[in-house]
Amino acid sequence: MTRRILALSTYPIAKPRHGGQLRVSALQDFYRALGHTFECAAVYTAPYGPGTVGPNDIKLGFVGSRWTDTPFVTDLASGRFAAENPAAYAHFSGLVARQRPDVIQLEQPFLWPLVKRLRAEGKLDGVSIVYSSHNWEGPLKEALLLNAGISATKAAEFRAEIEAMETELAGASDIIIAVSAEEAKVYAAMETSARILLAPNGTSRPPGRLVESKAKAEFGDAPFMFFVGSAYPPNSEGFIDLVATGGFYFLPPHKRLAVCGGASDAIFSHPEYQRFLGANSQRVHFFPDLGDEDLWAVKASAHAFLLPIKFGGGTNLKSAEALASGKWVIATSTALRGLDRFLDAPGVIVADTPAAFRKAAIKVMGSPALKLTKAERDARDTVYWDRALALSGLGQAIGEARTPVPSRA
Amino acid sequence: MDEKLSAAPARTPKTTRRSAKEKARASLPGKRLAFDLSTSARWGGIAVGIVRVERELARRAAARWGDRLDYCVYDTQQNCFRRISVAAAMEIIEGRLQLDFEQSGKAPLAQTDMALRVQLRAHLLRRPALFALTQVVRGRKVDMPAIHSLAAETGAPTLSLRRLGREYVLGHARLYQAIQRLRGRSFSLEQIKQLQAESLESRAQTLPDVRVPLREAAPDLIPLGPDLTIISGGLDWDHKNLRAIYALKAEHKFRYAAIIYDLIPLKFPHYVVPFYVDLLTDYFGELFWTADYGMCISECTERDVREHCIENGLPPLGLANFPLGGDLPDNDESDAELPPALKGKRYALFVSTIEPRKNHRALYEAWDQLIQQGAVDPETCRLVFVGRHGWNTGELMHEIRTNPRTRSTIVILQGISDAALNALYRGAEFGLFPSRYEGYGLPLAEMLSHGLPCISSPTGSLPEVGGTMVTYKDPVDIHGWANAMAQLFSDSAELARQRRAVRVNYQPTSWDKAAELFFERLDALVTP
Repeated sequence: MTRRILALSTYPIAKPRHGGQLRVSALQDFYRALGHTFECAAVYTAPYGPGTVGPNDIKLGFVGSRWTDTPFVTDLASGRFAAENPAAYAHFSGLVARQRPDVIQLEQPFLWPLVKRLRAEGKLDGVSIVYSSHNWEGPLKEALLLNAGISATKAAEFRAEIEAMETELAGASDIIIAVSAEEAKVYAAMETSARILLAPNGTSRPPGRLVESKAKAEFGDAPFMFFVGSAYPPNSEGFIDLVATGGFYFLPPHKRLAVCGGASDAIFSHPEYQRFLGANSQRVHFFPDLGDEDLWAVKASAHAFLLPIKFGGGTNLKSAEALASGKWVIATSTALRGLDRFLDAPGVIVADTPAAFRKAAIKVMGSPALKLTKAERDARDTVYWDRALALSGLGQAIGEARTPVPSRA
Repeated sequence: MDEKLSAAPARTPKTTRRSAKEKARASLPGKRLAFDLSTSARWGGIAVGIVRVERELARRAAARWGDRLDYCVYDTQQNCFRRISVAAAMEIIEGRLQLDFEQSGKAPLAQTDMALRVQLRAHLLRRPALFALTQVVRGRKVDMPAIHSLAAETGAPTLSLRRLGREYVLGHARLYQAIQRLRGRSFSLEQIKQLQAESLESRAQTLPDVRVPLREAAPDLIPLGPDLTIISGGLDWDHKNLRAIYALKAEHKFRYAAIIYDLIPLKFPHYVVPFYVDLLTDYFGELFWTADYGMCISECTERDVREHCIENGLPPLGLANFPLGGDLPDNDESDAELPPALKGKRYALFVSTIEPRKNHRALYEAWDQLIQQGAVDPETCRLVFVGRHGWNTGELMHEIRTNPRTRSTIVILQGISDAALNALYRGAEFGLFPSRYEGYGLPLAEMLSHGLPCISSPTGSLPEVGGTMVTYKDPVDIHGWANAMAQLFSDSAELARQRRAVRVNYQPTSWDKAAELFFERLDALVTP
């Protein structure tokens, strides 16, 4: 039975880049492949704008000084805005009226105040609620705010507010899609009748034809390690702490490490990197702004992937990408959250300290290119989005979801 | 010929056409050697530590290797090794010739050991604008061409500004005393008089007679090739560009043998001057990719290097070790007297730069205990530290200066000559060496060579040097050190017994022997 699914998020997915967007985009592809209709509506903030937003998306407006005085809480403010701002609420009510969804899927809990009001006003009678949880958000937000220098009291208040929202939403949901087994356990322990599914993050399949790798000019045919990260501070911090501390003297004085993405600037300018700049420059090459095609090509020619991720919940998309590559992977146990089945997999080395990371890098760089058996390759393929979502049981669960009351249809 | 240099932006070095003899030698892989004197060629002070090692080995290398050997220095600006004649090399080794690496292109022959006033003028003349300003202040006419001409005639100064300042202040005892007081140090006029004498002696001994521009002394390049091994054992972190040398090696396939003193900056960075931690980490980081051979100054250092390379996945390099010589160059027993503060006293001696790794604090704490307990006589017994003031010892020095129990019984000496050090060794009751870690521990060898019973920590390479001749105490065992010192001060029979044992059993390593082992073991690595 086909369903009309309306997803609500705090970022548009017209041009997906970051992890959350990619996950929603993958869910969209998955649902559409099963014949369901899928639309996404977002409350968005800068830098999104023309070209990166869709017709259903609406820009976050002012909702009060509490939100503007604290960094990193626009997602929380978005729920308040969508539910309380008359124009915003009218936008979403109109959308629901026009699209008549069978399923409302919340991407993260933040727009729950909007859905709550729509339900209270009878606009979603009989509509199934799917809570697509990307993380157990409360503690993450608290940690982020504390790192940003926000007072512990205020950070705890935000955490409590988010956890209350998550708990309420979980209780009201018909289906909860958890991203890791650990997170699924949290929901299972709650008072909810929802079906709890586990759908770890995955990765897209590489394009059928790759462009020539820009790494070739820098690395030649020599093996090199690959790291990619956005400008999100924990990306560069993890790299500096676990990989760059003490310099790259374990590598020969030739280019042996590709650092890609927005984290490049922060890594290059970090004092620990600058400490041994001369030596590091011999060994590291930055690709700060590669397009998708070039990035795929660099990944395809890498010898090993580095995942020095120290912070974050859920399953990391970069981890899935690294595993799917079939290359050597050196990762923290945090990076493999939700992908725990790969902790002891061949070609995967778990390293949680700088010393362990270095030891692993030395081992990997001294080893030939990884060769996987068919079974090992098949296991790694399960991290592609299509396989990951198919294995989650989500297709069947959505098919079995209740339909709206006919009078409302 | 290694003419990567022909594209160099500065003056093109004069290239050397290979002689038939050289071509013949080139056909024997690993048979040509070049001893690098880049550190000695810059050195203007007393040859201690690494400079001493470089010079002691280099002076004997010609006799060992004959015409297989060249002497050279590394030109950082053009990334090449410049040949030095044997005669010039010997002048450098004896401290009579310094090379000017500044590459000003105009540096003339300098004058010999100029008077301080002339030295100061030479410094000012290197900054013509500043010199002109001083002339204006003195009401003299400024003529820039004349200033440049005078600068050319005067040449480069042979003393650094810092040393010049010290020499000047030291010449005015009251001023020196006042300045040292401001720095929290106290010296009597008598002590200052001694420092003045030592300074004069040091200048006479060590200042080079001439300072010659690098390219004037070494116009030719060492031909690089697979048959050549360059031996380098100086302060290479200051005077070499290892990344450039790595590239040079990749191009010319020559081999590189480095003398490795210790891996303390990697193993114990907290014991190293902060600035040097990064510098030396970088140096070692590149060295192990660049060097083919590591000549370690102890088994301990060799072991440390081997472990470091394995741990860091570094390519294996040929390793061997050799001991350092324990004989001081000046053994003229009548040459120097004990400082006045030690005349008629019994003293225990510790020779080392004063810095945390050397662990002077343990001795100070132990000594304080001994004085407090009355275990040593404060009238007749002294604890003597010989060494310059290093880093991070401010609080310790303050305690030593101000502790009323001990301040008159701890004597600190610095900037002393080899002859004066010999006198101190000869007059000591026993030697001390509480260091937290050593790559060798030359002062321990020197103390044993002088027949002194020694108490030492058992860390790093020290047991290799001390063998069974030494009483070992853990560097943090203050009571252990106090008891061992008390025994040697109070039990003259035991002191005499230990002294006899050292004299009978200790086999000092002379520099001749050390160099022989160095050459033999390096030869075995280079031509296995």
